[in-house]
Amino acid sequence: MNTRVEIGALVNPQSRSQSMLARSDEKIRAGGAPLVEVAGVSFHYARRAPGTLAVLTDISFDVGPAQVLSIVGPSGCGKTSLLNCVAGLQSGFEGTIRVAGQPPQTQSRACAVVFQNPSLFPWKTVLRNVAYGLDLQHVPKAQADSRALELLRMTGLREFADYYPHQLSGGMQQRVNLARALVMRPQVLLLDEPFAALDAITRELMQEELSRLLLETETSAILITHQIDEALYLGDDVAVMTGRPGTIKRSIHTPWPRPRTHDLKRDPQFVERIDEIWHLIDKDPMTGSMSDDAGERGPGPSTIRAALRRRLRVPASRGRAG
Amino acid sequence: MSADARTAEAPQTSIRIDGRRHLPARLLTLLDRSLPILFVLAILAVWEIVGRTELINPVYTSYPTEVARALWDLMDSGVLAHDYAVSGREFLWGYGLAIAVGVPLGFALALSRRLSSMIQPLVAAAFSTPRLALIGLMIIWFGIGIGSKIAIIFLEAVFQIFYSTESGARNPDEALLKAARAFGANKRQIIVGVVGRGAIPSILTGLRIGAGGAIIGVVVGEFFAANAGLGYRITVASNTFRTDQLFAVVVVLAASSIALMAALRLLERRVDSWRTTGSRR
Repeated sequence: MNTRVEIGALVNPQSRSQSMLARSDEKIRAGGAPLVEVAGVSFHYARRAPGTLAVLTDISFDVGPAQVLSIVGPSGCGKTSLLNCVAGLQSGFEGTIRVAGQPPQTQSRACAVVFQNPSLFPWKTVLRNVAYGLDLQHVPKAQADSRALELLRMTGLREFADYYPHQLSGGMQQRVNLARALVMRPQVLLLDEPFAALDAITRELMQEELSRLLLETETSAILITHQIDEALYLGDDVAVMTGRPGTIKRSIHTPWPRPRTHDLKRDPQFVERIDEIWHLIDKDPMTGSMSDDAGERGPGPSTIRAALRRRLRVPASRGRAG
Repeated sequence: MSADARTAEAPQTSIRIDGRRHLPARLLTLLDRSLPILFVLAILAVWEIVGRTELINPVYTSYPTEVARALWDLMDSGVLAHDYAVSGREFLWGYGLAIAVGVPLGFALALSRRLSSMIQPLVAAAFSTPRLALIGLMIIWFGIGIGSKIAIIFLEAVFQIFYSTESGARNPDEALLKAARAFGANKRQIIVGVVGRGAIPSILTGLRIGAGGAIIGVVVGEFFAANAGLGYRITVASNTFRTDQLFAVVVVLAASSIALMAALRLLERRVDSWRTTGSRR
């Protein structure tokens, strides 16, 4: 009951836009520290001489409570590295990252990660997969089970608790993956292209599902994606990343209240923004890879592939606009 | 496979499309299942006829009923039970030691690059040496008693177990490792829960192949300097032209080996039930 009211307040366009205003002006923000603070983060892989391979340059953003930040960009722009840094899976970056006020670490209970690959343990049942993080922390089995079952119910997988992952479809596996992260009751969900491997229909359904779950659980999220419409549909804000080394070129605020329906994707405003973001990421990787000495060897094929992929994908979304 | 399963489940479909029409599906399945048995029976019948008609001198080939009688005599006199106990004890010691050394060594070398580069060449050299060449050495070292037999069985089994364990533990699933790490698993939890658990199918395969090697070791070890055991019995039978006894012991060995493999396969299925549940059944 209580949560309903809170969700209502959360999605009330009025209060929402006010909170956005407060958020966008960092200096006068009153609501306490953001959940995730990323300030001036750069990262490079040490290479054998000469020099290093720069992956990220000077990235800064904040994510507030129950806010969703989408990070969109072409393949190979360092999105995943950035997420790994926040998750504590990647150390050795420069700059500051704070998650719930703490430096990132994998043991932290503030965030949980959803990978593109479901990466479920094939020898564990769905239930034990979902309870995995709790089992690691030696949460009593009865408690772990009931929490896992609750999440399975929320994700519509209750009847599949005793199945093994290989008996599920790709979409269901990814749902289990999502449940496995949410069962930790994280304040921030880190999603690394979670739906990239799914077919188009399943992807749409999963986007809606994720959006609902994030609202229900009042969880913040950082969503990495290379799909512009996905970024816009799910994010309160969309950060556009470009080139090598990766950097945030621009951050776009999405004005639509959550929960959002799929009709939104046909809204002219929505399509307009897709175009806007498209133009932001279109040109950069090319010039980036040409002018950047360091990127010469590393990203070559992947940059070309990314460019190809964009060539193939975006006329479609433009077609919808026209 | 799935087609077979379907026919078995739906006996009311009485026609198959492969030309053998008019025969009810149930009868066809029965025929399919009994074919291997019929084939073996046919071979035994030919063997029996060839032996009894002395088409080939039965001293060389014996024949099934004769083998059965020899088997009965060996059991009746208690010789076989004694031999079986002796060989069984050797097997358990040798195979057990091979597991106790092979599995931990495999894990150690898979997890530690330094240890691997130190020990791997030695293991590879020992593996490539024909083990039969070492029998004399084993007898010198461990005497003509049970010690040398255990050593030979150990040598026949340990490498397979070691290599299977090592290859299973060397390349754990990267995605699972990352997931475990992201959920805060500590080093022990990763080694036991991801690397170790992931290596189990490979280890069990190693145990199965190793068991085969160990049985060879039992027989070979008893060819020299033994006074009891199944291998010894085979040697004696062959030295005295008792082809029937020789075949009788071979039958016992084969049956034991098949039973052991079946037991290990059952264990494999039990431990890795997820592979065999559901869609792949």
